Amino acid sequence: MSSSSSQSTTNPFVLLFRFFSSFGLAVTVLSLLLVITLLGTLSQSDIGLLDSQRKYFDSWSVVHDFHVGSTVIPIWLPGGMALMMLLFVNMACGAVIRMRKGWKTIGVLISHLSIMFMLAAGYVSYLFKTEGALPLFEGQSGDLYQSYHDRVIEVRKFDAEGKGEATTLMIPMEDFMDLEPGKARTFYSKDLPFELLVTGYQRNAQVVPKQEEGASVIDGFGIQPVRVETTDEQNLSALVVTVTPKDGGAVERAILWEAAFEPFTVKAGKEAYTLSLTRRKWKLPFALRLEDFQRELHPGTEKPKRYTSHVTKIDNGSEQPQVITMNVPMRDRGFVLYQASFSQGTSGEQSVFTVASNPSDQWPLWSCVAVAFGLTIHFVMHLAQFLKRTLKPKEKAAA
Amino acid sequence: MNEFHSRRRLAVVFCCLSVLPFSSACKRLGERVEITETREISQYEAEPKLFAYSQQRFSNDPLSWETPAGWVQAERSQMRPINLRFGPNGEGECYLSMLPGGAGGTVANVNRWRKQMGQAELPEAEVAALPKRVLMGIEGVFVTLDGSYTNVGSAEATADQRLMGVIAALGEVGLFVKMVGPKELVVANEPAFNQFVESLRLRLPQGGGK
Amino acid sequence: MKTFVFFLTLLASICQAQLVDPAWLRDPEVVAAFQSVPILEGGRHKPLDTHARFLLLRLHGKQSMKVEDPERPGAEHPDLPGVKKLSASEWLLLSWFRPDIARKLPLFVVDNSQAVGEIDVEPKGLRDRYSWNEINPARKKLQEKAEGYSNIERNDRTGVQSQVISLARNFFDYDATSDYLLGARSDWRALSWEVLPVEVQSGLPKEGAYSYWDMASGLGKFIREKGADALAPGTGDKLLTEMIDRVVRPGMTLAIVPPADKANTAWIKVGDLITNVMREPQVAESELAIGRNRDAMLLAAANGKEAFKEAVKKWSGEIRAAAEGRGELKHVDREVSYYKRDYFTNALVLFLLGFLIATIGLVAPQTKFARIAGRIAFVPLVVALAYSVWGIAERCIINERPPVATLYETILFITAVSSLVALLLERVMRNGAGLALTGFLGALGLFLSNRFMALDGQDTMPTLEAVLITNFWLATHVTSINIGYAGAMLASILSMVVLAYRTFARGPGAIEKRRLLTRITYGVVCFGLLFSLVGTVLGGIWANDSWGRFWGWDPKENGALMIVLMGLVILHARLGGYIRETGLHVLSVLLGMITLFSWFGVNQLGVGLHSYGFTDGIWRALLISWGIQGGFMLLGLGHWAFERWGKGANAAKAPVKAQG
Repeated sequence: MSSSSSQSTTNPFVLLFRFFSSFGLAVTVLSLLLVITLLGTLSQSDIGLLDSQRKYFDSWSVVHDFHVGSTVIPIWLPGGMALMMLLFVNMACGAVIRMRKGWKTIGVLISHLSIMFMLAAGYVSYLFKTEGALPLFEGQSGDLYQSYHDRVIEVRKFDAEGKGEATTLMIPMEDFMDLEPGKARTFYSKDLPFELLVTGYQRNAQVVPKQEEGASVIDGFGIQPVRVETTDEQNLSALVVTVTPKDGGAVERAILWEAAFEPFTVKAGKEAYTLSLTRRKWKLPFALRLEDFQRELHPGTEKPKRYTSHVTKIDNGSEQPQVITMNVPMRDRGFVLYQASFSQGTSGEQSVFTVASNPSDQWPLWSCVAVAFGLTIHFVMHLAQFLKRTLKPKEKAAA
Repeated sequence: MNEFHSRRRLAVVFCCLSVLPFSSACKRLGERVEITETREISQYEAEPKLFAYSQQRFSNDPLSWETPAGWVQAERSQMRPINLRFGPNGEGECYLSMLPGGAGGTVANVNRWRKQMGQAELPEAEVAALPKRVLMGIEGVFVTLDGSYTNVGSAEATADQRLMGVIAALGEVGLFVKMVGPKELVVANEPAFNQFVESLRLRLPQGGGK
Repeated sequence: MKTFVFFLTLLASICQAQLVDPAWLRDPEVVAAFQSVPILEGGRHKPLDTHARFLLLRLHGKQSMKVEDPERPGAEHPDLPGVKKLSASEWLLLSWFRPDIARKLPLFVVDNSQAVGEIDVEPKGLRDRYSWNEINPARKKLQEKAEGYSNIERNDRTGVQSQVISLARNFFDYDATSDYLLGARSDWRALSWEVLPVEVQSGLPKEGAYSYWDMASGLGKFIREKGADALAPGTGDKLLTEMIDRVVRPGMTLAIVPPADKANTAWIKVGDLITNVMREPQVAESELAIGRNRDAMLLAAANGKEAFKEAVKKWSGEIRAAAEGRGELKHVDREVSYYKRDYFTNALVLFLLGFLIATIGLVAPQTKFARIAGRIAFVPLVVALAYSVWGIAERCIINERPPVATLYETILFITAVSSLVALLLERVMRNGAGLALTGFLGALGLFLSNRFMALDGQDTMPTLEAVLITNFWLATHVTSINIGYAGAMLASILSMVVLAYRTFARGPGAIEKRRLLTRITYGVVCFGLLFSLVGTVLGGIWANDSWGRFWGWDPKENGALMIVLMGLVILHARLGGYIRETGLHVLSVLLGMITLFSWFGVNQLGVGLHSYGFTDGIWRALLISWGIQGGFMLLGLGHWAFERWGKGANAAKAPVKAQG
């Protein structure tokens, strides 16, 4: 690791490079990552997987409350995202740029490059991956999958005949999830004859009939916050929206709720607009029809041995039978469909698929092969060397 | 020295790279935000019901219906999951009731209503010939009766009344919509009755959304 | 006269029950015939022997039962002369054929005497065993208490409440098991004749005993033709109550009748069979024969031992033939022999033996004595390893899958791998330490696997969750991650050995040896790191292939990641010169702590997967291990501080620069 530039220098670039390529940084970052992983794992039983992931692993920094007896000591720690970025830079500087290249270090170089590639895969997937559920009853068709965690406000236009437009506007969750009661933000679009003022966001709420009058009661209903569930999928968020027409018409207020049966409708001239708070939906380039769902059990028990969905892929009018089962997903045009779960209800059997679209889907596989290859080369070389050194003299002595 | 320079350049590049994600991570949210994202609607999506009112949107009631203009809601009960009143002084009533086991079948129920209106029992064949009417997606019989109405539990009959109702069977459950009131009032409210019966449905969460 | 005949039959039927001599039930042929009877349990076809073993393990805490006179400890039991110990199958047979004796034996293990105090049973020792006879008077109270406590959320229950619940479950399970042949032992003429309709009576013999099979078939026909209302008032209830209590309830304990219909995968229980006899006009002859011949074994006992033996073999043969015809006898005999050979107990004993011999050799290192001891120790250790590998291989064949799929199997596998690696290390060390380590690791691991099985109290070859049924990923991801665990555990134990060694051994020879051990430890850390890293990434690839995400920060994944990170920290800290000998060992002990957390700890973080008692036991074991490891880390830090201090003292004249 020692390089020609190891003499003392005051060049800030050199110093910076030395810092970023140092073993000290590697050890520090790895140790902190270890601590963050431990804390993030332990916190899952309290705050659930999604929140702990956001707090510890997707974050730039985190303040963890250590409990010592009854006193709480908050400690600042760098978040997983920051640490992984640092690790990437550290590997790039230390193991790729600074390290001497040669046959002796080829294994190390390969394994570091592949780990960097894996981190990059993680970042690409963090930025661009979409994942959601596509539930289908037997006989039902669908081409939408909806996010497990991401909520949006959808605004869709309907003409005088009640025919809806082919696209809908969406306000992403990041733009309104901070709007707790007391905070508000206005949303506008040139395509809308009104502006929307959003406030009173609750992550998990019930909308209940309320007798008393009051600012929080709209049309006999009010938002009642409920304790946030640790499994985020079970949370039902709600918020209040105020619709102000641009032409100065009457102002309307409405509650939007994830579990509402119908959207709120705003009349604007002859047209109407629906407002709803729902999970973010994505469209597949093909549709799927569930023909038959089969559940195989271990004999004499209720324990499932295998779930299998027989589906038809509807693609530009052509139909093609497909089978999706446990550990055998269906792949097409970058989308992967997995057999996730099922439910049995009065309306028949419903099969639930998880749909994922991830540009870096297969990157970890390539990287894993490379890292195993690199490390094996390196360790085997070292082992051979070690054995040669340790066994030889003794054998001579024994002989 | 050349090597050193190329290294330095690389180092600068990586340091800049490391800052890049930090800067892109923070999006400033101001007072006003333009809506820019859109999504394509799927042909498989269920079309929403426009102009739904709060009751329809939020109530976790398994039943959904439209209360006709001029009608008001009365107290609901186990026996009357939907209970409506109409008329100047609320003389007219219209309600939905459900009885498990169908309470004896269509014929028995038609004759129960006839008895309440002071009329003789009908034989099965004639009940079968009654006009049909769809209630919550199930075919039932439509009954119109004039006469003196004796309400359940009441001793005296009220004269000059009209009863209009539908009897249907959903599996084991008997479904009844019954409208009773002064004859003229009932006649005047027949369109409202039709609107109510047509709007009545069981709410099953549609695939997607919930 | 009539009453006299009745009295005689009654007497005869009671005598019949008494006629099975308990000694017959330990006859090797009889036991072997029973052990190899196939049953369907937990979705898997297994021998009756396995059922008996895990039932006894759950109730008794052991797979066999010591027998002695309750009055005079150490003396023979008056009812079981010449018996010191009952195997699980022998105990099950005694419970079936001689419940009068079996119910006297101290069976139910109760960890806290408060649990029996709660139901007004006189407590014995704090942890003690109670017989059916001792608990039975309190059965009502036991049921009430257990039902009450079941309404409390599992995590809110106290230890005693959980024990009352499990005692109730164990007691009523055994109550039914020990009544398994009650139907055959009952006098159905006395129980039913008076209330049977004439039509049913006419189909039964006028005198002497008749079986409930005949009665049920006649009664079923009567009810199917005339309806249940045609029975005299009260008759239906009375007969039904007797049938349920004497035949159906005990008969539901085992699915032992292979269905004649090949399309039907669920085996039939005798309780279902008798219901079918009443409900359907035609029940398959082969199914009925197994039900009837079950009772015939008891009746045959009246004609002596040979007749009994014949009846037992006939019954067992019928079930085996039916199972074989369905292709479901597959590995039943292999499983019987797997348990009979008891690979892991044998291996445990041999590991221990090898450990002792190798340790004696270590007393005088580098001498001829030590070399001879090493050679001798080598033999039992290799045989022990062979036993372990053979046992694991047998399990693979029986389960038709790669070696590791359950927590119990991880212990077996990791033990085998780490002791194998330790044995290979001896080739480098050449001083007997590797041998001692092999013996120690093997014995410790197998001892723990035994304890774990007892705590869990369940069949160790369960059917798997749907998503786990994939031999490719079990063979690659699970195997390599467990090899990684083995490496990490071995490294941490090596470090503990070095730290301990350092405390006691001094001198130049010792330093050289320590250096070698340190390098070996470092090598083992790298070995563990390689496999954990590859295994973890493979797990991600499996997850991506099965449910669409490579990494989800789920506790088990994080656990594996932590091992990898710790390995990387050690590696880079050493390369960077931040740690040398002592530092390496301290961190390697920490690696062991992290490995234990990932291996067992994270499974206990989730709620509701395992019973309270089980989790409790695991946590206790984990805390003890962490305590010991923490102690070693402190020892290491002590060494480090001493080094500094010592150096500081020596360096007063010539200051030495602290090395970064």
